[in-house]
Amino acid sequence: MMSPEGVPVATTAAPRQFGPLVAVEDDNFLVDGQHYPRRRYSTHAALMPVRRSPDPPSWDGQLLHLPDPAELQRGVPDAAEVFSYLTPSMVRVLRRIADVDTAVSHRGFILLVGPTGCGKTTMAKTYCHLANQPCTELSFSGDTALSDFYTSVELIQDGRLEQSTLTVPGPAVEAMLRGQKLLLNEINMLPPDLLNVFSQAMDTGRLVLSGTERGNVEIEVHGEFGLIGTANPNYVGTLDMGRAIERRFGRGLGFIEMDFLPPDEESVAIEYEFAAERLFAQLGIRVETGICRRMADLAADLRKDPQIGNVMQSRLSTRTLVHWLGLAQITGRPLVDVLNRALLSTVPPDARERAVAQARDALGDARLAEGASAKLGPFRVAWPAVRSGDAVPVDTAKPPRRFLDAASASSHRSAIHRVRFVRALPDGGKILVAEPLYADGVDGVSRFGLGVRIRAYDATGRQIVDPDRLEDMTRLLRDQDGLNVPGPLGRQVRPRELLPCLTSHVVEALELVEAALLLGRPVFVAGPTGAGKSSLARTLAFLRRRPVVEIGFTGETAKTDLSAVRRLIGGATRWQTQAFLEALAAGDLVIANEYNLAYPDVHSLLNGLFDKGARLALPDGRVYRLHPAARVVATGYLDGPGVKPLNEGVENRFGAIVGLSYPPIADEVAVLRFVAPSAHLGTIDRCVRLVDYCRRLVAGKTDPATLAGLSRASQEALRQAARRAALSTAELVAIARAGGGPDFAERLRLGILDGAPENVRRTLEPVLLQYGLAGE
Amino acid sequence: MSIDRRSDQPPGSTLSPESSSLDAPYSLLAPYEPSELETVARLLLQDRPVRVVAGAWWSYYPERGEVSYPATLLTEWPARRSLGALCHEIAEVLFSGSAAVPIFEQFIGWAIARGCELRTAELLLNAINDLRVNRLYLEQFPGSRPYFLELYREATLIQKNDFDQRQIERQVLPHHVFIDAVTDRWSAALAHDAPRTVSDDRVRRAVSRCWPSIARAVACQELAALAEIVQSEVFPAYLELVSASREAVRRATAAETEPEESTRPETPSESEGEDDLIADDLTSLVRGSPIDDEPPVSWVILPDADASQSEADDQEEKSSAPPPVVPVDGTPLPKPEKSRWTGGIIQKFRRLGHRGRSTPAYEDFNYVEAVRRLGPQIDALLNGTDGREGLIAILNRRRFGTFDPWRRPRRWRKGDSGEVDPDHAENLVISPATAFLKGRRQPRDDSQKDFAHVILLDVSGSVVQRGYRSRKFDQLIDTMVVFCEIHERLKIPYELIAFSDRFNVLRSFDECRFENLQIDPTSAYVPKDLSYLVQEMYQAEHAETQETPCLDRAIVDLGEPRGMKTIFMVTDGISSDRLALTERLLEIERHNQVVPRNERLMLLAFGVGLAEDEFKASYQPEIDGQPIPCSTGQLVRTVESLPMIVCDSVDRRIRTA
Repeated sequence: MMSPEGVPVATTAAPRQFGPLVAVEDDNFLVDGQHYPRRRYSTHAALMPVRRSPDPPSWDGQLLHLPDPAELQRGVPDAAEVFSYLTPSMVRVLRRIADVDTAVSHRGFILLVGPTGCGKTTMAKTYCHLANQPCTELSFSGDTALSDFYTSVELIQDGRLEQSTLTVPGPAVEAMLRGQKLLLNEINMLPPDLLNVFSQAMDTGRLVLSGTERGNVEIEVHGEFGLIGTANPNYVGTLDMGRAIERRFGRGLGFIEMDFLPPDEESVAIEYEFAAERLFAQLGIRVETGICRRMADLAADLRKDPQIGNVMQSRLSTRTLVHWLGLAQITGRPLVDVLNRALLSTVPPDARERAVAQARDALGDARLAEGASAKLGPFRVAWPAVRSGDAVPVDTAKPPRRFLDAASASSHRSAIHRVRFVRALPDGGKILVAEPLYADGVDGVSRFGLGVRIRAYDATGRQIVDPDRLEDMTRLLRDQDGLNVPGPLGRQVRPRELLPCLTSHVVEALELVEAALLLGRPVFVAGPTGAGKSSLARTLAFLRRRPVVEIGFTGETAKTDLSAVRRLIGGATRWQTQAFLEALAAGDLVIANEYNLAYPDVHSLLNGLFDKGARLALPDGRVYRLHPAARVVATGYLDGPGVKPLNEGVENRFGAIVGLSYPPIADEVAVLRFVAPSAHLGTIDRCVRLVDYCRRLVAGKTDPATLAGLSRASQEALRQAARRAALSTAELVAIARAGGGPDFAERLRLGILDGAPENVRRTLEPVLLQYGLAGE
Repeated sequence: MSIDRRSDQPPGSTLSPESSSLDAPYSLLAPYEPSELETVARLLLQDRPVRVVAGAWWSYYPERGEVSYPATLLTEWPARRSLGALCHEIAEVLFSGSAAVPIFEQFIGWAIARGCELRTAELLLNAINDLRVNRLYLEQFPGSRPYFLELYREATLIQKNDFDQRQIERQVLPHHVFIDAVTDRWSAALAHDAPRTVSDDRVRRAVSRCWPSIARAVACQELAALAEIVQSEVFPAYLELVSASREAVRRATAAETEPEESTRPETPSESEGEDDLIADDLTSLVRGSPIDDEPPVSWVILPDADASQSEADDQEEKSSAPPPVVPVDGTPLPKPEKSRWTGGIIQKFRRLGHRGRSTPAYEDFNYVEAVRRLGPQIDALLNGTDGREGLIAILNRRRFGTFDPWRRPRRWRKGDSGEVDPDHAENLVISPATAFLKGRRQPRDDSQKDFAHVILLDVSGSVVQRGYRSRKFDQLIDTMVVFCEIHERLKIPYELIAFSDRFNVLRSFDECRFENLQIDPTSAYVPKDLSYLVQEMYQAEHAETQETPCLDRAIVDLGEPRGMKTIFMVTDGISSDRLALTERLLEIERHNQVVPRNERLMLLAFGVGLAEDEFKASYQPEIDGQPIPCSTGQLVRTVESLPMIVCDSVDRRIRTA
């Protein structure tokens, strides 16, 4: 905005209070009685271009392509990304940030250090919002390279298609040039030898770049440039930053240690944060102050517990308390139940037991307001009431009547469909096979084919719309005509990919997962292989009508798999987003299977996507924002070959960590009876009991007293037998489905003993034979 | 066999070892090994708190929660018959259980009042209840039928030893024939065969008369209902047969013994003495021995009985027979005789027994609080301090070949094969030679995954006296806390032994089994409350410093775990028998000369206190002017310096292994 004289003025933010101690005025903001200026943006209108003849075509002036300074303002975090209320302790931190950032001598380099979920990133964004400062947010991972954020060497082609290389500034250098605040999340994920790249800018205010388009150049760092780093010290995958880096931030100056708020302040903070959640804000749902206070007191007690305090620090953050309230409000479950089932699932068992007992003492069976939960009902799947030991079809759950977010973008992608083939059907009908052609986004003219669309008609000429019949036809085209080509990301889940049925055990997990998704948070479903984690996620997507993209993580999964990769295209390098990011940008539900097979320092790259604002800056300067409808359901097994611990910061960002173990015996029997109704109940029950016992033996969860008297040879024999018979629910379901039921025990026996070593056969076979079949 | 409320004689040869003619799976052709049978039993019993132990015969002891099987006969039995017998005992567990005991007692009391002997009455109820539990088991596990058929094809598990039959070996007593006939009739029905013919008319008539009632009794769900039917409808006929048996025995005994009484008056007492001798032998050797007439409780709490002895006795027993040191030629050490109970359980019994006996000085020691107090030292030790690597880094590198296993390896190595470096795609054009990435990690030649440590803690009188606070003991405790914490965090199996002139295993290898070697992050680690260790150390007898027996025990216990083995000794260095200690160190050194480098045993001693000369002389003896390589000593002047000293020692140990 310009005054009539062309003098830049501050853009007027709506007058807003952030509690009694913080307020925003037109051109300054007030923190604890101290005024700080807000940044003002001018436009090029103040610069009067000189009228002259144009430069020769071969000349290339830098000043001809100046970006408009007002565009910077789009980088200011919006109100939804910042704290809505600042307590006195938060204000103290904010004031230190403001002091350092506005001090002429210190260049505004700030490092916020503290436990995950205490509000470091949001505090940085809140400052930027109040100060009207644009902010470029970078999240680091262990394999982040300088080319991801600083400078990269790119291949380009000139007008004569000659290839040449040049150094291209990354988002960090752009921020220095244009005067943005650089928010570096997980700064201590970056090796210290790379972190040093900021030292020159911090020390001298100048930067030398070699091999750019204009040769070796020197840049004066913009006066408004600032660096705000956040770090969780000693977390999984992090590195020691080194004293030298810490000193550059300045202890007592920019090096700011944050901690959780005192309970009286934390209770207020979570009350406001809860109310600001999109779903609750839309429906005007608030939570009682008293409940918040009790939860904050409990959290403070648990965090300082001498035995389990270090475990609780990272599990029960302020952010977690907000998730806790949200899950309890949406599901209507008791608070302690939610804590146990959805927040402490990955905590070591003894610590979990103790924490839950303490929570029970503090909160009893308190629930949040039932009326508010009822108001949320239309947004939820209508789950059937299933008793323990019962199993009901998936379609007894009814999809939500209202949706918070618009449909994903992928369903609205424009394409031209070209009919390529017609295939006659034996019954006189026909199938039209068309190819969707999408614009490639380069020249606006080129298109490429991706996937197949079919339309079918019966013998009378009526269009066939039955999805099952259409799927049969697709299969026919694939199997008989070889028509199987890659398709676009995002698919609707088919019924056969779902859970076979719903039991009380699985409905409970589904409710919690759904609640976290409604809060807009990612979810981690933890459980052993074959417990139904991915099927659960698919079932939820099916019921909520979400397109799904499934991605499997491995130990090789790298940052480039999760964000963007530089490719050599047509002789020039170009950054392309990967499937994971594309799906999230399109608003699909991403199921990230075996999430924790990837290294924890790789996950941290995604932290920015799971924070308020939900965005990720790419090395070429583009900023990807998460589609409002996009959700992530990660699945993983907590213990096993190749499994890594989750980084505390990553784990804390999950709205819920739902443990999905194998079902209780009664439920598992019900599932098997559901898929194989003709199977003998007694046989299934006995088999499931044996398998359940073997699973517990393998997991070391049997009563050690029952094994104490066994000789070492017996224990080893038992362990070997148990490993063989510890089948997953998915395996049992497959066995039950295969034969339809009557020969379940026989198939199970074959399944377990087929290829088993002799010593295992000798112990398991007589047991399995007894379970059998004479009775059927 | 049926429920056993007492001991039974070992079986006669009523069961032949012939193998079954039924179609057996290939895997069931060979007789079972005890370990296999115990495994099958555990898979069938699952979580039920019943142990399966080797004994003299098939028995179920409800009050002890034990099923015994004849380990020595197992190899002579076909697998299916063993399975049949096992199924029967498990049927007893499932369908009789401990609730059967009062019913049996009531029935026997009632029968004794009517002139029937205790064991004879028990025999009847047992025999019929056996059939009931078999029926119920067969209903639940129909596939077990072939095993029962094999079991009862030629034999019965019932032992008929209610009468002294030494004088009538060739004569079968009528009530025993009745019991056999009843069992045979049931098993014949199971096999769809005709029952065997009973030659004794009295018995045949009794069986015919009683069978409908017996069949009803067998069909009962509950034992109480069965007992009622047996009492009212079967017992009278049985009692008649018992009278006939009694008469037969009386006549046979009179005929056999009368002529010898005058010539061999001492025989009965000699015979009794011999019986006693056998009983003693079996009691000490065989569990579940029918000769054992001890009350059931003595079996159940065998370890507890051990624990209930005074600790002094316990120590004396151990120290009186110290385990030998490792022989120079490297042959494995003989295993010390161990009870089947794990050390952990024994320790728990002891802990329970010892609580509340100490004076308050160290009674209220709070381990978790100590962990918090020593947090900075522990943290420094584990994570390192400025410019110095911690044990986590050292161990991770040795175990996984990388400094930090939780960071994705950065791919630095360039080569001419492998995948395209995504960070530098331009190299495809600019520098094709470096555009592809090769392997990620180079395995270390000196990779070492497994370690095992024993920590010996000196609690002699020079370190601590009961009733007094002691600076040395305080330091010893802190040292122990640091040791325990680093071992728990680093997942290194360890054993803690406190010693004075006797030693006490405070925490054994059995109590610290780790699922994997991956060191958990701090946020996933919960310290265990090991306060009891301090209480036990304080309550121990504080006498002389006799470290050699304790060292011997450590050497033996280190025989089992894999990996590089180290003994840490925390002592004030004033050895009461330095000569023996030096001798032992020499033996270790000689042993080390003949084993691979990474299996050599080493002793790292840490001296608490100021007796430096004594300490050095004890743990760094010299031979021919050269110190012994297998032992080093470090003096710990203050607990604050402990992390650094320990880290140095462990680091050196790992690096030079």
